[in-house]
Parts: sequence; C-alpha cells; structure tokens
Amino acid sequence: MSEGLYQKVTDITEEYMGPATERFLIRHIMYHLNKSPQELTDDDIPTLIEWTRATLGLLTEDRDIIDEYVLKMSKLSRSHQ
Amino acid sequence: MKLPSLPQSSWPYTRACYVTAGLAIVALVVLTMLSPNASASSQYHFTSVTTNILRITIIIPIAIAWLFGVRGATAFKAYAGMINGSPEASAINLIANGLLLTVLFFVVSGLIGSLLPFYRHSAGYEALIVLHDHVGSLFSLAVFYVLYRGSDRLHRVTRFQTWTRNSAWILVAFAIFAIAFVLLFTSYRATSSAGGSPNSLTYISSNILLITLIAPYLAGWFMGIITCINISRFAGQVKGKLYRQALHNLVRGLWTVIILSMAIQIITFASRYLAGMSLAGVLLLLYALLVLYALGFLFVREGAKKLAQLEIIP
Repeated sequence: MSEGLYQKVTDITEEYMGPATERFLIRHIMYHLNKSPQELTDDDIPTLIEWTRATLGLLTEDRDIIDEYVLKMSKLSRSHQ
Repeated sequence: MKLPSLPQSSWPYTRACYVTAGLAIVALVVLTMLSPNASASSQYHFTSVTTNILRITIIIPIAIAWLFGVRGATAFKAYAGMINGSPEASAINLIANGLLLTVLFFVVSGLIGSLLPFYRHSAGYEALIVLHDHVGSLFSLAVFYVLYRGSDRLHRVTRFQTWTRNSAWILVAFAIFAIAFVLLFTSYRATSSAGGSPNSLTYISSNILLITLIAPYLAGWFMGIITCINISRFAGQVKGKLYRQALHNLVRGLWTVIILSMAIQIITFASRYLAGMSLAGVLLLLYALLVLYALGFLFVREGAKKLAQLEIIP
C-alpha cells in the first residue's frame, strides 16, 4: 500500500487535469486496476500510464502535452523502483 | 470493492426543458400572430402582409435563441451534476442555475411582452405595464445575483484576485455608464416609445422608478460584470493544462451570454424608455444580439461537452 505514491500521481496529474484530477484517477485506478487508490503500487504505474495515455489521447490532439505527462509518470515509476 | 458509478451524461430535466421551450415557442407564435397591437403598423403604414412578415422575422430569432439557450444551459447543468460532491460543484451548479434562469428570463419576459397588447383596453392595463417592467428588472437582478454567487464560489477552488488594476478600470467605465444611464432616464419625459407602447414612466414618477426599476438593473449588470471577471480570473489561474483547454469555450460562452444578456436588456429598455430610436434600428440591433446570444450558448454547450469528457471517458 502506498498513499504517498498515489499523492505523487495526483500531483503530476493535477498539472493536466486540474480540479478533475481526483475523479479522473479514482475512475482509472478502480476500473482498470481494480484497486482502491490507496492500494496503488509501483507495479501498477506502467498499466496506469497506458490507460491514462489512451484517455488523454481522446481529450486532446496536443501530443506534446500527452508525452510530457507520460514522461513525468514514467520518471515517477523509475524513481520508485 | 464498489466501483464508482459513471456520471450521467445528461441532466434528468433536459427533456422537460425542451418541451417547455417548445410550448413557449408555440405560445409566442400564437400570441404574436394574433396580437391586436396595431400602433406600430399604423405608425409606419404597414400593410397586414408586411406586419405578418415582420412578426415572423421577430419570432424566428427569438425561438432560435430560446432553443440554443436550453441546449447550452442543460448541457452545463448536466456537467454540474457529473461533478456533484467535488469542491467546485457548488460554484458550477450555481452558474448552471444562473444560465437556466437567464433562458427563463428571456422566455418569461418575451411571453409577458407579447401578452400585454391583448389587455390594452382592459381595466388594470397600467398595473400590468408597471408589473411587466418591474418583473423584468427584478428577474434580471436575481439572475445576475445567482451567476455572481456561483462565480464567487470559484474562489474556493483556486486562489485568484477579483480586484486588480484592470478590474478597477472596468469599474470606472461601468460607473460612467451608470451615471449616463441615470441622467438619460431622469431627463426623459414620458412619451410613446419606438413601438408606440406606454411604459412605467407614463404612470409612475422617475424618482420612484430610479429605485424600483433602474437600481435593480444597474446592480444586476454590475454583478454580471464581476461574474465575467471572476470566471476569467479562475480560467487563467486554475491548475490543469487540459482542464484550462476544456474551460476555454465555456468561458467564451459565459462571457458572451452575460454581456449580451445585459446588452439585450439595455436595448430593450432603451427602446421602451428613450425616445428617438427607430423601430427598424432597434429590431436590427436586437436580431444581431439574439443571434450572438444563441452563439454564446453554443460555446457554453461545446465547453460543457469538453469538460464532461474529462469526467466520463473511462
């Protein structure tokens, strides 16, 4: 269990999703990882990145924003390994 | 583990709003086409065919504006429902209510306005005229108050300053406008308006109307301006690159709707109270404003749809 990890994911995602962050992340974690946000682990990050990347692709055509988000999330994943 | 339910993509009362708007349009068509008001026709020597064509050209842009208003306001209300329970929910919900009231305001004032000529020769017509004018100003005040309250609650979501040097200049411009508006109103002597209809000044002194009619309008318009400032500041300061992108059309739409609501009220008021405006000029200006008003609600709808995508794409 890593509440700290979830907080870091929230901080990064908030730069892109603003006030919609909590709802966005809870939806992704619960639907695609079948977990509660507090149960998020380092191993879940790559899967979470793939799902959020797909969703962001539907929300914006700006590839730079998506790549930037994925890069930050990937760094987070590596720093926790 | 209980999965969170996906938010509803439409507001449960959307259909009821469309049905109401449809009925209101039918009522507007019937009232306008059967209207016994012949003062403008006789004043401009219109034939009955010209009068009917003119009536149709009035009905069409109004009906379009009402329908676009319902589309935009219900879409925004649906978005407000999706984020229920979140920190920004109460602000967004109040702004959505304000938009719905804005549409209701135009529907109600349009219908009452088209009902008045039927009572022209009835006892109590004067009271109806005064009531019509005051319902308009008080309803306007209520609408802008709700919008302002909603925009003020955005402070709870993101820190932003309403009062800056730029807002002070806007305030100065509004103060000049308000003074000019009051001076014009108090210097006006009651005569027939451009359409030849009487107004509250025919029956009540301008000093009383300054408090009961002009003050609510000015207070409402002032709150409308503050609402625009708050919404812009929020959109500029709120976190989230994608959220801000989604907010863009919404802000543009809200600005358009609020400013044009004010403009339509000012023009309507001026046409009823300030002599010297030609009927054709007033109508053309109102058509243009109504089209832009509908466009504003189109932006609101697009913005609400974009924000809703942030909430429903799994």
